[in-house]
Amino acid sequence: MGAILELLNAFTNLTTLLASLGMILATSSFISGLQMVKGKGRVERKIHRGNGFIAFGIFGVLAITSFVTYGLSVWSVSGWLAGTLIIAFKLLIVHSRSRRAFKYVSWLGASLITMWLYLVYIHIPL
Amino acid sequence: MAKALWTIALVLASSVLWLSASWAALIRVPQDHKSIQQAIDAAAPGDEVVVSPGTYKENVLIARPVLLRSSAGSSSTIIDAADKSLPAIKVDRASGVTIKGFSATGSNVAGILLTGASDVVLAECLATGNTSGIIMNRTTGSALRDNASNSNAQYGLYMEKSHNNTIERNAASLNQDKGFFISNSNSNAIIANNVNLNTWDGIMLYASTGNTVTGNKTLRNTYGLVISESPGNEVTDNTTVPNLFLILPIVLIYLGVVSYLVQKNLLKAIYKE
Repeated sequence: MGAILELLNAFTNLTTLLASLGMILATSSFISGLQMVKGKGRVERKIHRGNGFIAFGIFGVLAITSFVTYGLSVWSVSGWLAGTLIIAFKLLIVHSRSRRAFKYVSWLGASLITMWLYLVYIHIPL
Repeated sequence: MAKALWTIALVLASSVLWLSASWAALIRVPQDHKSIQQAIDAAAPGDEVVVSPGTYKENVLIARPVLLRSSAGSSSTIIDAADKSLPAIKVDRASGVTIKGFSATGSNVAGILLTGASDVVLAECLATGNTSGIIMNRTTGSALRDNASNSNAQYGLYMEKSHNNTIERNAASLNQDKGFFISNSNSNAIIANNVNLNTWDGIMLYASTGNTVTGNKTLRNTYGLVISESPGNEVTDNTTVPNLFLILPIVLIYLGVVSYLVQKNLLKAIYKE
């Protein structure tokens, strides 16, 4: 019971809520992406793109919130930039349609999930 | 006759007590004295020095039992060390000092240094941007309550050879070394503090015995609670990893899977794949 209350209480923090929503969308996008690699159809593509782009938008909002709240520091700019680069690299590979590069898309997807796990972790209120 | 003498003695004693209580002067900074140090130098033992909001560029040295407090709290009453090689506030071999509601910053030694002191009460202060936030050296029987010691280059709180103190409901976060470093200090009560996000240890006990460490939170430090060469301490009910850290990501991944299945079935119904 205490753990459930603690869990619900965490969502009173806006950035925790946003990071959690991003994690949910990124997971949906990741699963549908894996299904697309298997050759599934248009529904998977829509889920993958829709969830992925909203998650990217939330990523941007979290980055801006972080800069506004804590200011610009080398570590924080490097961290958010690294996340943006992973997302950009993933989009670049997908749009290149090269079969050779396509092999690594699922790895990048896994990197994005790890990135969202970290985002959720740092946004859990103390 | 004896009864009358006793009555006179009693009346005299209560008069002395009443007079000493009413004689405790109230000194205001900057109304009565321009600087905090001038006010303290002018204060007699037991006097109260009340400081108005502002930034005071000085090194405050307290060597007598006075009550030093701000009128508006630590967020607006800042003591910025004028000489960076000295602490912003130093209590030197005094007993019965109370300090309440100041920010101490800009020192290459410590924001607040208690040395050779006893029965000191330090409350609702903020020590930030110093080498160490608060240092207690050979200090006994004192209480630190509701203070914050954040973003210092070394320790949030450093206790050395200090005994029988109470460290309660304080916060030490984002310090570049340890949150609390308790060294060669015995029989202290370290209760209900939040010591999070420090670069190295949250709370470290070194060569210290008979301390009670209970109800503290030490989250997201490299090491939460470190006890080295310190037998005979009571360490109970401290939190290093809360349940939320494990539960929340698992719940979110589960919700992600559910969200995928729901979206898939909805879209399938729409597009009739």
